[in-house]
Amino acid sequence: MFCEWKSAAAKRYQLTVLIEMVAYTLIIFGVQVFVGHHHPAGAELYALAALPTFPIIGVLFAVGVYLRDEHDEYQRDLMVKCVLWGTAGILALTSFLGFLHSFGWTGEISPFTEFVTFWLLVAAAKVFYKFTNRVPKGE
Amino acid sequence: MNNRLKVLRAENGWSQADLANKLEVSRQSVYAIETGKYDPSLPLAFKIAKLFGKQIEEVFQDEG
Repeated sequence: MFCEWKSAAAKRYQLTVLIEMVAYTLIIFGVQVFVGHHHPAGAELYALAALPTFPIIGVLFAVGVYLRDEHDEYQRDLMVKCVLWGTAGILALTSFLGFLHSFGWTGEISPFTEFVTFWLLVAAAKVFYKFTNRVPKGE
Repeated sequence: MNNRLKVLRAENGWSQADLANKLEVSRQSVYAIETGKYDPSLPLAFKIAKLFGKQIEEVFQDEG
């Protein structure tokens, strides 16, 4: 996750997140194609709309498992901070867009972008902490 | 919280990587503790003190 050092928990977390993100992309793509061709309605449409939420829950579950399994408390602390930055950013952004809609804005942003934006914010926070806590070489 | 980690590490001839390996944490963690950017939990502080054969208050001191 950070620098060259990776614990077993961090490696498991990264692999799980990668799998979940690929699953998320495939499910989003599959659902959009299916809905575009078959125009489902009712319970079937609800079920299809719910499908992309499973990898999202899976990724956040992976974060929980990482926080449980990571022995390095400093790395756990960093992870919590980064996820908090991501959560704060995406909540602020979606609230802002929600208010814009309530004020009559008719623009549209794909729901796909929200989860991706969340992880981009988490990644940005990781880069920030990595930069501000960079370890000098040779000590 | 102040600490004597860097001094004790130097006295033992250990690099940050050596200490990180002994504590089973990242080098980034050792650096953060040494520079006072991160205060370790009580269990980790005890582990560090035990590793150096010191009492916890010989390694970590309250700033006040």
